[in-house]
Amino acid sequence: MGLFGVLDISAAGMDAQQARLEVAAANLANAQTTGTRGASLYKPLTVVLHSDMPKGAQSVAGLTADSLPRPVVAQTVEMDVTPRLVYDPGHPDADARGFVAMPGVDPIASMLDLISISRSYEANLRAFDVTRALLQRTLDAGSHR
Amino acid sequence: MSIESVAAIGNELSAQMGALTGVAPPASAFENLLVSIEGVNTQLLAGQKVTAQLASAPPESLHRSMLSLEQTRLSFELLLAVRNKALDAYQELMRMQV
Repeated sequence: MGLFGVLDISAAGMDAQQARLEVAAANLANAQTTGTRGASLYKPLTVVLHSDMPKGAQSVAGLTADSLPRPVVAQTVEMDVTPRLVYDPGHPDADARGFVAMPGVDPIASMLDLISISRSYEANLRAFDVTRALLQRTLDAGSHR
Repeated sequence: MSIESVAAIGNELSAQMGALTGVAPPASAFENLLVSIEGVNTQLLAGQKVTAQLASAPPESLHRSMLSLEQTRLSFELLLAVRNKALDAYQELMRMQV
């Protein structure tokens, strides 16, 4: 579909960044939660992105915008990080020694993630905009009245 | 409609165009245009649905909605450009001195 296909590729890139942003937001939001008897302690999540052919396309041989690989969320996995122990004997979820377990969310890494997500999304948006502008200008070339 | 004395020119022209572009000349240009108008109409209806969804509930992904709307807008503008071209050609013919 030509340039329209390029728009779709950029949208797929934004899909991937949106998935990363959702997970990063969830990690930050759950950073102060504690494990209770009912629910286990929140484990920080991470998104695994893979590059995949769109449905229907078999190989890159054709090399049109419709058959180029685009990012897909392969899976969202829990990271194996040790919980953060906070000494708070009065807390209802505290263990025998008075420590409360909280998810091992790394605030600095989370902030870096946010910056990277923001920039990547912007880059995809820029590609989208450029394609859109080119399509528009090509249409305008056909009507010089 | 074809006028026999000039039809030969048209045939020759479309054959040359075919050789040049590698694309067989369409059976009927006007019929093709109607089909593409229908395609644009489908796009417009899809765009309408997206707008309604945007208004009623927060979308699953905003960029997907924008992509859909942008595709709708561009395909409509393309249709408009084709229509203007056709009308220009017609008016040019009507102005021709006989």
